[in-house]
Amino acid sequence: MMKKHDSKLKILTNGLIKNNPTFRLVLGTCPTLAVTTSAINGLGMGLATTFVLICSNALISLLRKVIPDKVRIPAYVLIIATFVTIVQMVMRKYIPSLYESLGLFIPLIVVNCIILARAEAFASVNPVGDSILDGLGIGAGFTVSLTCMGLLREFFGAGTFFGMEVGALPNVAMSVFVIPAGGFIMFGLLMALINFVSGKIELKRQVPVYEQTDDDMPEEVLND
Amino acid sequence: MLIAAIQFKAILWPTVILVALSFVFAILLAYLGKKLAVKRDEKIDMVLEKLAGANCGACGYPGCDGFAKALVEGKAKIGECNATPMANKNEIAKILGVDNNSVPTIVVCACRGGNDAKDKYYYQGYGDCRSMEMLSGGRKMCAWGCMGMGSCTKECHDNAIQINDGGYSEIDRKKCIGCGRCVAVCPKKILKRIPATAKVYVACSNHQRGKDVKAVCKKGCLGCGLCAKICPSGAIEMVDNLPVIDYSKCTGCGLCAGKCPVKCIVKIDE
Repeated sequence: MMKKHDSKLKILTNGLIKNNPTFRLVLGTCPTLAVTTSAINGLGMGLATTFVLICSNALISLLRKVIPDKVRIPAYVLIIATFVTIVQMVMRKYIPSLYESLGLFIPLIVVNCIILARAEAFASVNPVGDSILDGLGIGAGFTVSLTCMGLLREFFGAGTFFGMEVGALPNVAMSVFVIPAGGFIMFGLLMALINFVSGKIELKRQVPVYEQTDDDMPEEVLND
Repeated sequence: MLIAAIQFKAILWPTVILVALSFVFAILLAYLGKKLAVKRDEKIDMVLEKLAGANCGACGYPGCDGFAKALVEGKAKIGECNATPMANKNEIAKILGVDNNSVPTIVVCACRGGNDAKDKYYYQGYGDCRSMEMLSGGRKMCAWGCMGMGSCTKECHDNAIQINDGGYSEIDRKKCIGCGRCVAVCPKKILKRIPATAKVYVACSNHQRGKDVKAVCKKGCLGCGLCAKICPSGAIEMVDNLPVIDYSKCTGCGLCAGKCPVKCIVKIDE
């Protein structure tokens, strides 16, 4: 859980990199694997989740002193479900093509564990402003991850970029990447890449370990 | 004692909060639901009302709703649904403004061998025709015969097709809606679609010569051609040792069924 004295910027970037919901916390893998068959699907899913996350975080934070502790989970689910329904209605009205391709996964945002986790871990104990920032940060992390996965799966699987033909590059379409198995493969590859890079960075940051040799030992110790 | 133990405040407060939240959200969603309502093509509901509503999925669309949508969009044809009665199909055609050129069909099993057909081996595998077919083409000596493992029975949603005491599939005309799921699943392809007006059908699919058929099945067509000779309207023709009935010429007199020495031309009961 975040500490009270964390700066606003830290709250915002926390979800993007350090606590990236997809690749660091490995939460909400169901939509991550299922809808990232194309970049636009990943982006749409990410944005829909971000909207629900910000709204539910804000409202839960506002009501955190009113909601009795014992019925907080039903209350959170009620709030989340309401916003998901709104997202669903808006999407059906204004972007029906995305609504069709995401299908069942829009109502399934209700049970996305990222949203409930942030409600429980952050919004229920932090002020409204911070909760909105947290929602924005985590949502952005989720959106970026999903878009990345969608982009790569679409590029390698169908040879297109956001639905457009890439003329300059040779067509490398391997249809395995757009089927569910490809989702797992791409997820694993990206996770491995991120772990590799973050491991390298971690290694650089560490203070070099001081190796003890006999020369450093005090005379008395050696003599004993 | 028990009632005194319950703290009413501890119940009341959460209840009030949850009810209040639900109430506010209900009003919000009801308002937005009206404001953001998406108009659905009225034709879809009109078509859906006339469809059989069996949701059998034999058309390849997700249920009757999906089929109705495809019909209105012009992606599907009415003939792809076999469960809907003809009168309703005509009305759907009127709604869509197209011609209804589908013919009502029924499904028959073109084999009555069953227990009278000799076995090739004793089968102990998984009880399914499709898996048995993989094992040397099934347990029957006759390569065209019903194996009686009941894949069609399992596929049928309406309990209309059963493996009868004779050991072959039999269709209950009263229950069958003609969706054709069984036709698709049968590995021997002996469940066949014929026009609903047909009075007789050929209940054998073995293309071998009479002598070879007789060696493997008591009920198999011998290819004698008596049916073709006796037919007064010339509707029967012998093709590859089997009679083929031209239903556009068949008058349903039933002479062929009476003449067949192995009774493999069968009358369809009303």
